[in-house]
Amino acid sequence: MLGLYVHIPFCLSKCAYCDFHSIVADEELVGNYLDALYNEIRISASIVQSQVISTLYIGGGTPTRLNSRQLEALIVQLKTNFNYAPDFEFTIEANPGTLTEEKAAVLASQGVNRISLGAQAFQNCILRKAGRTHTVEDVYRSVELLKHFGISNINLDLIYGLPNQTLTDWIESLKLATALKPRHLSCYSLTIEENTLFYDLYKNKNLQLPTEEVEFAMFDSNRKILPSIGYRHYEISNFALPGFEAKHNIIYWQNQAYLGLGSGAHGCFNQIRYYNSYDINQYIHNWQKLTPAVAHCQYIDLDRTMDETMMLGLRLLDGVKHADFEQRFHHSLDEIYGKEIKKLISRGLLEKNEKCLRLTKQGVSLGNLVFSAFIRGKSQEQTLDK
Amino acid sequence: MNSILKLEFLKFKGLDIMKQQNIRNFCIIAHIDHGKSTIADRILEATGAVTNRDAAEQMLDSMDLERERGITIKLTAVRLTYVGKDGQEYVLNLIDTPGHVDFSYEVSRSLAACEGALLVIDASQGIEAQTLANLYLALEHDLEIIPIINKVDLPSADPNRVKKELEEIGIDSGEAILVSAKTGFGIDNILEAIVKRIPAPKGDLQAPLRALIFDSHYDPYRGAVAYVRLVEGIVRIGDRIQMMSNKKTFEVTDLGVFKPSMLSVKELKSGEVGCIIASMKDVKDTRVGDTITLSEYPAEQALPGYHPAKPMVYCGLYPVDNEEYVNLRDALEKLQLNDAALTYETETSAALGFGFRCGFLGLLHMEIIQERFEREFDLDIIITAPSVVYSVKLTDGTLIKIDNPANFPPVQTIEYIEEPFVLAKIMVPEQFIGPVMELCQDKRGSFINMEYITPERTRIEYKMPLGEILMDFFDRLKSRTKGYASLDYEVIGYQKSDLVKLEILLNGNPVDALSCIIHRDKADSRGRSLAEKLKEVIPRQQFEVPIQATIGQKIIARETVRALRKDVIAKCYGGDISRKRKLLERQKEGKKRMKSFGNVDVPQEAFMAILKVD
Repeated sequence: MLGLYVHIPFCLSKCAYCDFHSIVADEELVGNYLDALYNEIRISASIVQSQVISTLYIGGGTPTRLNSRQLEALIVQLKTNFNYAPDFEFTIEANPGTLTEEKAAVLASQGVNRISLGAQAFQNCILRKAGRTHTVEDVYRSVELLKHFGISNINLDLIYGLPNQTLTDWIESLKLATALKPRHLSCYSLTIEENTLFYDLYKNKNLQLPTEEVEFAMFDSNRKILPSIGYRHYEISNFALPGFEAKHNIIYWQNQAYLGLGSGAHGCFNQIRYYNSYDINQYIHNWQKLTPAVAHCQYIDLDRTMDETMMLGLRLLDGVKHADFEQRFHHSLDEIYGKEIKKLISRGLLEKNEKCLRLTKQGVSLGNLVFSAFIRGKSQEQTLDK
Repeated sequence: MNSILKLEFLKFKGLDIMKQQNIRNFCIIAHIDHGKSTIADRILEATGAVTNRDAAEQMLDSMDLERERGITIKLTAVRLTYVGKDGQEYVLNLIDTPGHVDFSYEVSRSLAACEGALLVIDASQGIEAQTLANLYLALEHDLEIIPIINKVDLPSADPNRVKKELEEIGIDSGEAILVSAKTGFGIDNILEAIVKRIPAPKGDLQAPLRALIFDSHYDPYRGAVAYVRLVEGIVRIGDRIQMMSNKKTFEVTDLGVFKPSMLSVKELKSGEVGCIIASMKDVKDTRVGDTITLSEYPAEQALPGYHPAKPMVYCGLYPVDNEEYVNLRDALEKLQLNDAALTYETETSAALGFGFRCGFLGLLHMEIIQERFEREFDLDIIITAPSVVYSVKLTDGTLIKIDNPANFPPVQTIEYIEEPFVLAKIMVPEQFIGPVMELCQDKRGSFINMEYITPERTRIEYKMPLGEILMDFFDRLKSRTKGYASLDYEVIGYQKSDLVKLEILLNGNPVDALSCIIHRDKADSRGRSLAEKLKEVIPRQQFEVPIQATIGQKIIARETVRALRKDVIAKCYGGDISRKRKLLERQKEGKKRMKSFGNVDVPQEAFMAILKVD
């Protein structure tokens, strides 16, 4: 079983907080990019032939920045080249501002069964400040549209801790979002990343961020409000109605294999982590000539795989199951991490039962203290021959 | 006889016929950074001991640490061959000396093995505190002094001013040699002066062997190696030698000279410098300052040794992980083999667990050992703030020595406390006299003397508690004088002081390793700034951490480290994994040198915080 991620590195405009790989590009570049991507899709598919794809995720950037014809062609390429499990999860990220009726129709008819919609907030002034081009009305319209075409498995992305956002704003966003009955909610704490507009403003102290106390109260209100209306808190930042957890993302958190296609896409396959060139022209240039555009790859040894399995697996509130770990690594959790686990349990950050090891309530808010304890040794830069 | 053997044979023969009057033993003394090591390099090149191409910069500083920091820690001896202008061949033994005040003990060791010294002075900097300290040491040993004014190629060089300064300290400036070690200018004049001006050794070849151990080091394959200067007699391979201090005897398995790599020789004779290897298992058997003689033809009297190095500064060394205790002990043992001045004994701290109390010659010595720990042994250690040795008179009349604030007896049992005082000699340009005096007063100094040498050189003397010198004095001195001041100090004895113990409580629990001894007048302000400083350096934790500073039962300061509410990576998907992992690695790295007390993690900086407060 294998996850498949496809990256569309284009947006209509850059958001103030976003450091994802994405540019504002002209139509010609987009067209060339898709041609190159098709080549990568075909070659990659021939390499993993027999493997069954359990989840497909098209992300960005803004995949819905593509026009409906391009979207259709891309999906057809993906569907005809790979083998999929019968019930595979097929997610595409959509921006409420760029999702048209035409595009929604294509997505539905081509078998997209899950949409991740970047709603972010339910106050237009906050959206504007964050550099979003859509409005709250666009969110309502998009959800309507998707439901109209029969796509009900919708995730809404929300961000808290945004400039000028109050606790009341945030709770209002949660209420308005859940009123739309999405199956899944991602509530991300704003992280100020380098190379973003927010970073520059922050450095010059021109960003009115909520205080630490308010930010914590926002975080805490997620796990109070959402579970009370049926959304299970299953990952640090993610909530879902039972059975609607994001299967694709669970591949990441369970440290399983996935392929990444497209410029800047990351993959993890056969114990190798790799990523494609972030330089879109380079990517196009290579794949026009059917040459892979891998920029970096690194062999992940067994110890490191274990550490990362913990660092990722503990993000899930169900934690890491003893049986899963033992089956995969032929050692018990205590054999490898006994000392760290004992210390973290005594500090009330982890808890253990007969089935699993998981974060406590406080452990969820102080996850980094836990994750870092499972990192043994430093990254060795081991670049492999491509 | 094949040609290599023949060559070796000729070398031995050459050494045999080398007359004592053609030997010169000398060292180079200088203030730090005045170019001692570069001059040594040039001398090595000029005499063909190393070629310019294969000379690693600054040959004599063989430890990486020495080369990086540009200082000499351990001394070394090199044998050079030089054909003088008179056509005769000379053997020059260069014995390197460390430049820093902490190591003046080592300087005196090398001086005792020489007949002359090159006194190197930077042509722009002029005479500094350690130039004088070393000069006086050399004069005490009756050495012939050759003044050398180095770096004359620099635009800022002012050799005439330096000559004037030399006259002021009673040295004939007409004898000074102008040199640029960088360009090589004047090096030939140095070599000639060594031959002409430094007297040859005058030991009796027929007398019983007397060899002074001026250094030793431990070689994992050959055991302890003694570096010696033969004052009288001869030693040969196969001889049975005897240590005059403990009467132990050993059979000589090898003798060597350094050119600069070791070359085996069959014998060493009066006046020569070399090393003796005699399967001595324990470095303690080659005690520096001891005299080696022959067991079958022993000398009656040992050579005057040195005062054993007395540690002046003590600190605690603890493993971050208690299970590393044994490894820490092994590491200390290994370090001590090459650094006899390092002392240690086991110590227990209620807060830190099992560790060691280590004694150092001074702060620099302490820093160097710490760095060597990190480089040579992969150990995470916690080092507590340095302390001097206090002398405490108890009410029952007994006198105890305390080198760890944690072990201070209860106040009611103390009659009085004495602390070590030093005579600090500071050299500084005139315009900084004010700030320097202010600093010394602030550090409880009492003015002793001031001497104007030249406008660029004023010597100020203060009597000060050594404990205050440990408290960041040198850094402060440098920053108040734009780096111009130089410092030298010598311990002059103990004196009563009104001292109190400042204790720190974290989360309500006393942390013995954070306590310190301070003067009563400063207790309140230091206590407050220490609590503030601790608040800065102790990272926020799961819980709020109250910090209290107390004297006796009285709380004099209170701060709180706020609880960490949230620290978790919000997003972690396929492309983020390596990047987020690095973030967590950094976080882990930051925790490495933290010691946990119950649930409170305290970083290394906290233990040094007392040094950084006003």
